[in-house]
Amino acid sequence: MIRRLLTVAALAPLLAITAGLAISGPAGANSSGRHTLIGTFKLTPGACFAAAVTGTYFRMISPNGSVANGKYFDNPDSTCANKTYTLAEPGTQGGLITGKYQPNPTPAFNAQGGALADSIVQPQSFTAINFSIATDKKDPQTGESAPAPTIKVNGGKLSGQIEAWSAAWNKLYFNQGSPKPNGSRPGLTTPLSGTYNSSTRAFVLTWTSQVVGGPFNGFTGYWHLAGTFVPAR
Amino acid sequence: MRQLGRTGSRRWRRFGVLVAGLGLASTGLMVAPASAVGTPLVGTFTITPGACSGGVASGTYLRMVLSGGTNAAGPYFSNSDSACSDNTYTLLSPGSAGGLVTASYQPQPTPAFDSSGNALADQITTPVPFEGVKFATATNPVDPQTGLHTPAPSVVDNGGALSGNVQSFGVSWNNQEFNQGSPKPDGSSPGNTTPVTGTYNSSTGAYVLQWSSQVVGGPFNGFSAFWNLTGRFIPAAGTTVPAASGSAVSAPSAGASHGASSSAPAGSGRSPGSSSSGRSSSGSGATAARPGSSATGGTASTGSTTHAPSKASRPTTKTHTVVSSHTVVAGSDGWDAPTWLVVLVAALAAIGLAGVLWAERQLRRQRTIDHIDVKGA
Repeated sequence: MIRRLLTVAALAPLLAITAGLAISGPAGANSSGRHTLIGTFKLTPGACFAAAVTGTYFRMISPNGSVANGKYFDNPDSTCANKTYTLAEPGTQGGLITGKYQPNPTPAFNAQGGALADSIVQPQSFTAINFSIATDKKDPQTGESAPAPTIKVNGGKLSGQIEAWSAAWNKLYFNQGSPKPNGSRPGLTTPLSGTYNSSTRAFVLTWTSQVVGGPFNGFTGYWHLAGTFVPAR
Repeated sequence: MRQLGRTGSRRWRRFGVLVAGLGLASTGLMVAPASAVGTPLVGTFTITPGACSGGVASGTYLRMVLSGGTNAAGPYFSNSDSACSDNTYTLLSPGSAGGLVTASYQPQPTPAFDSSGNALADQITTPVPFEGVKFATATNPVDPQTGLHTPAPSVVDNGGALSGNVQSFGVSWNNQEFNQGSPKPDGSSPGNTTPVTGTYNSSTGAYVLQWSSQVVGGPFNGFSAFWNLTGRFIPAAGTTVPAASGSAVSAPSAGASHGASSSAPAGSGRSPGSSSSGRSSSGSGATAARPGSSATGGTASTGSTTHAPSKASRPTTKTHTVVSSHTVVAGSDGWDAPTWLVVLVAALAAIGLAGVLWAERQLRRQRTIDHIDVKGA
């Protein structure tokens, strides 16, 4: 009996820590201030107000360009005055889910090459052909395995990996993760970063990912996701 | 009875003549209009550099139409590297050969790209940035995209109207190849692909060549490009070209005046939308040096209007006397009758002829019988 009590007493702190973590888990902060955000990063639709662009959007940088100076690829289908911005709208699941995949459907394209994935974002027209986003266990461009997206917060700053993030367009796939599925960060590829307000759960996530191989080799996608995080239940 | 037989034979003969005549005429009509006689222009279509003014492009340029779009209404692909305020125009300038050479190839070099994916072919046009990566044009005996054999470019002048074949015309960009010929290497003209058309002023050598070609397969499948080449035609050495006076003018020695075209002002520019006629104004006021002359300082103006040509603005077509060249049958103008229809009409004509022969034979036989009957009586 005494031994059992001693054992329970010895395990109690461990159990308490574990319980604490579980409770504070998705959106809260642990004692160290760093934790994983598991749930849905609900996306705010992109919008343009004169030169200002808010919400969720995408830009493509030409080879040898830079995030600061471009040159940026014009999408004639953009609803912005500045056609280098392609606005996004949340998909059927509201946005990006961490801790699990939101894969491409089968088939992934319609007859015209328009992408059909609609969980994360609604397919958007890009040079007259719909493109979309998915996170697949096996990256469709490289064929390599990619972990499900993970995002952490530390003192209001976001970090993480989004290796599985993939764009589909005109029957082609372009890995747009950071890092890439092989763990590298080629060219303009930058780590995922952003901000998180634990009170409002408002977030901003940004990263860039250079296309490796294929027809747009050397082009880079700049991703800007904004919205509200909703922890998983 | 005999009278009835005679009448029947006559009817048969008339019917046969009618069918045969119609058949032969139809066959001729089907072949003839589609086979406009023309003069092949062998030499270099030197290129006038593209230019922009007030959002309108002139000279030599390219415009890319998005998948599902039309030449007339777009939507067009914007090239962020375009020098025009309307980024959908990508201006082109002459390459080391001065422009497009007919009857021979201007292949891409080996390697065709640098380490950044920039295309290196520089004979027809100078490589020009397209979304941060330089693209170039070339004509190869084996099309790099499809692997199919293609003929060397040919352009035919028919009374000032150009037609031709640029199956081997290809674009290279970012380590990729896109056939941009018309027709395509397999002879088809898919989607927005339109025949080579244009105008030629035999007095000045000024020309406009236009065509569209839809990309088939690859990353830009379904996109198409509208090509507008303007400048002056320089005949190949040893050949002659139609001259204004009707007398043949000898061509200059090779390479004599390629460079001159680059100093010429912009030529005719027209939006694809106005290309329904397939021809554009070449400016009657052109004062270019004649093809065959040194062309130094020549102003190969082909006009700068963007509207479809009126009859008055058509190039002044002179006598097309060609000494060293030969007349060919160009099948690009007019209606190309399907093979089955030609066969059918030819068969009808044969039946008609057979009917005529049979009727003739019947008539002669009848006459012989009548003659015997008369003698017997």
